[in-house]
Amino acid sequence: MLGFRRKCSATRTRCRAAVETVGPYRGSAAVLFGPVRRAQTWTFSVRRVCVVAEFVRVPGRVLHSRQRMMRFMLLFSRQGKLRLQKWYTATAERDKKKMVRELMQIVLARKPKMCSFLEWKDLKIVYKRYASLYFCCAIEEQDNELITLEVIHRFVELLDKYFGSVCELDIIFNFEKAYFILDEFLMGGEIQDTSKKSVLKAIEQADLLQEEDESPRSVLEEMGLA
Amino acid sequence: MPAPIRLRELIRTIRTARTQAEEREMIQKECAAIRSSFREEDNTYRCRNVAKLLYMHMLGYPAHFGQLECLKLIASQKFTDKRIGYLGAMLLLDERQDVHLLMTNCIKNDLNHSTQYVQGLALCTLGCMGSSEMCRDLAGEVEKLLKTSNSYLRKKAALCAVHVIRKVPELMEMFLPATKNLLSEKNHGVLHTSVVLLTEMCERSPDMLAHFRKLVPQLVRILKNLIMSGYSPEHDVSGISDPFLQVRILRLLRILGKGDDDSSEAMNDILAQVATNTETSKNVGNAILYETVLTIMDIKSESGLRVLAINILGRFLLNNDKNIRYVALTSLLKTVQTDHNAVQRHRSTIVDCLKDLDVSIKRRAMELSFALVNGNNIRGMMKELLYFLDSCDPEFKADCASGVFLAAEKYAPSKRWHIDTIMRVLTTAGSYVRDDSVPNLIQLITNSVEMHAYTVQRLYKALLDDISQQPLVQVASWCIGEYGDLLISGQCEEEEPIQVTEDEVLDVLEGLLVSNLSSPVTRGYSLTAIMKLSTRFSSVNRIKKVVSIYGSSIDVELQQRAVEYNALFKKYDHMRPALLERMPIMEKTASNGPTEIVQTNGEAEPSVVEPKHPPPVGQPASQGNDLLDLLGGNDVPVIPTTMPTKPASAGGELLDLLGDLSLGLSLMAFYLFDLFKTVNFLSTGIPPMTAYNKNGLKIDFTFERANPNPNVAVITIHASNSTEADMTDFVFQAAVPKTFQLQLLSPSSNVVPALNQGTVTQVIRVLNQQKQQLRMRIKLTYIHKGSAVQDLAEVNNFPPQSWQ
Repeated sequence: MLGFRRKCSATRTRCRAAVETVGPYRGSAAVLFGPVRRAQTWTFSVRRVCVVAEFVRVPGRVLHSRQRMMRFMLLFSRQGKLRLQKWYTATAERDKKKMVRELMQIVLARKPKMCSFLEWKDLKIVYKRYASLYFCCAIEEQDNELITLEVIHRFVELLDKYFGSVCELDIIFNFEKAYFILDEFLMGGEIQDTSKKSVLKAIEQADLLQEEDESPRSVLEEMGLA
Repeated sequence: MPAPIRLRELIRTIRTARTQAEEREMIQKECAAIRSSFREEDNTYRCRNVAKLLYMHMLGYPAHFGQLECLKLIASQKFTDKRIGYLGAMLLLDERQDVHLLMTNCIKNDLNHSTQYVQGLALCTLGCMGSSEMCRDLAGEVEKLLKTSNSYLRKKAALCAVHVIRKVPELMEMFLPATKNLLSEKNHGVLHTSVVLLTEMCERSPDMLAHFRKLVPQLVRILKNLIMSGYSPEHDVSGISDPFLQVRILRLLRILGKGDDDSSEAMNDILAQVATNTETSKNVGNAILYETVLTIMDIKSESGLRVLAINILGRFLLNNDKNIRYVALTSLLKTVQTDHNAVQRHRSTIVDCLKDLDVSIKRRAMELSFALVNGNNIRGMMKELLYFLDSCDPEFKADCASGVFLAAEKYAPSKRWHIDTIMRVLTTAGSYVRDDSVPNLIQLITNSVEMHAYTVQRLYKALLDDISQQPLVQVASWCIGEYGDLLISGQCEEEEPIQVTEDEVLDVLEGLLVSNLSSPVTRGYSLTAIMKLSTRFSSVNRIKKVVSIYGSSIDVELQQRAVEYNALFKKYDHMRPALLERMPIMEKTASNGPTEIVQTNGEAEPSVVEPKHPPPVGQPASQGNDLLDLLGGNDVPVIPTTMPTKPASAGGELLDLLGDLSLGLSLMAFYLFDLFKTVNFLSTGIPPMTAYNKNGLKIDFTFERANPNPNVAVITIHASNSTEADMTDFVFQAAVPKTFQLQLLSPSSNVVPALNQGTVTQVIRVLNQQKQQLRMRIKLTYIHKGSAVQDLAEVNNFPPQSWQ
């Protein structure tokens, strides 16, 4: 196990060096890791880099390094306790904590009369308060804030339908269920299904599957005990 | 080993903790139990333990030791294990840890699982956190699932494909065949995710964009069906059919129609339909309208449609919902450059938003209001904005003040209005303005000669009201020092003149010196003002006393000033009137922006043609460079007009120069010369040099860089003569290597007066295209004591700044 990890990081360092030589095309560096990692020799990795570079260089081609999507979604209480967090871009644990803390502070300090949007770093924050819970999404510059409010509302509706008039305690004690619902509704920051019915149906059926899992196990356990 | 406590049990226990320490202790205990359970490779309770770990992770405790356990859960056969395992992987792992690669194989197996919910879990995990390595390995599976008939998997596969393309754009072509039938799908989930996928592909590659343009009619049809079709309970959101899909289609249309006439043409009608038929009583409807507006603005739409879009935003501004008002202001701000007139029509509504309670809306409204200011509406807009500046929160004041300054500088209808506006800002938000506003205002005031009496009177009144706003106090002190005589004489045409006595004015200025509210800089301004008044007022004795008191001030700056002024009173009293003469008009610099550009707006007052130079007594028409002669021979030493190139600190520098003057200098001509050198040095940053010093003839060079062309060095020579006899028929010649071009202007005189009683100046312009080191040969001929003298010299020690 350890051996594998070490090897992996060693190749990676080499790849970085290869990528850095490409200079202006660094934006596509992440793209390059795959083939380069698998490549056994240095020459190949360099050639591969060049191929990609040409791909990028075709006149008129614009590669967006920016991604248009929801970056993360947070649920936190009026007291500043985090209840759910979903990150759609890779972020270091430390940065996550820092961002959550900062954002909670800003959002909680806002008065009810204020609008639901605020600009924060390069992101737009859309938040809405439902009872004691704040639902908070980070979207990008070009995204539609108003529809994001609807996305939040839809998620609340789904929770409400699933738990039957949801409250903060439901989400605390069944946080994993809340995650399952969120994952069935959004994926990679995009809506998967615009129908409430089909999202809830999928959740219910998966729950059934889980129950099936559990019942034979208890039988087995009994047999084991016997 | 006993069964570990259940998840809900743990949550309940942790919630009973009354202090942070207690909670930490509980968690540490539980973590220890979980770790030992992990070590024993306990399969039964692994799922439960990982779930507990995820809860602790959310509370902010470390949970990285659960990473590998998640992988084991994923590999388990049970759905419960897989569900928690994948959830844990998404929460605890990401592509920056190499461990995640171990999942690749499990995900691959699960993508081919017989249960769609297991496949769904695998797709979801890949679509959330798949790294580029993973995406490369699994893209084939995703593509296969994109072609199934199972809509549950198809929608997930489409979003997964989006993620794959984001991570590895060159895999895009792989998904091209699968996109063929995506839009004919009836299921809204698949339709929505397909539109997302198409959007992603179009945004990433112009080839794809061109390829998918043919889909415009199909997209238009889908959108039409959505807005025309009746109520469908499954997709209805407050009376609107699937707003999420509508927004997504509108966004894709925006990308397809951008910069393409045919596509734009094809979607004009539907956009107009959406814009007019959407129910706007709820947020959803407005979300669609907002997206429509953005699309109309971005594509090559008809002008009528664009006006419709701006009007929608105008209506948004009147909406009760603050979110919608905010969105409207943000979008108007984006379009104000392209559709200025259309936005201008909503000016009054926008200005009303300045009074909104919400700070975000206020800020947007402020930005937009400044964007809308022009020559025609400057008076009205400024009134509103100054009112806003009065009442707004401190966080806005700095931005608002600098916005007002900029707008006033650009569009001021008259000098008086400009001065009034700046003074108003200084009185209301003085502590928030940028540092350079003081010198800027001083410059503005100096340059409007006809306004001096009016300005000094206004400022004096302002000073009587409030001495806490430092910038205002500084400007006021400076002006009272300069134009104190005008204040006393009460000759103000613009306003009812006020009656003040000299003592009253001095009382105010002395008040500033002792006030706790005054900053050290303000005290400096005040002391200098008092000093200047010694030539404008008759109460010199009182001033002498004040100045001598501050000679022992603990503030070094103030002390230095006072000591210098004291010396001026004692040793150089004969020069005092000349030194404290009124400042000449300062030249404008590019950084200051065009003040005189008055828009043709009908309400502008006729701009007064102001004299370029102050009219000093008995001074012949002269150029800046000839001033030395004047300075030497005349008792009106005017600070050269070329001097204040740095308005930001002009006031301060001048004062400092005055300070330098009064200290230990014996020969007037000499120190004026020094002054000039310093001045030149200050204004260009290039130190002066001595090029020649022989037989009593000394030639100094000072440098300037010509502003429009940095390759041209402007060198001014100053020839002085320390012998007892004049040098007549003085001719200075210069030669440079071929790479340079040289131009000699005519000298100020051909006689170099004896005993350093004056200098001859001459300007040389050197064009140095290649920025080579400057070298020069000079030839000097003159007649001294009846005999002709000729000398040659080479000058190689030019300061690098003069040629680099």
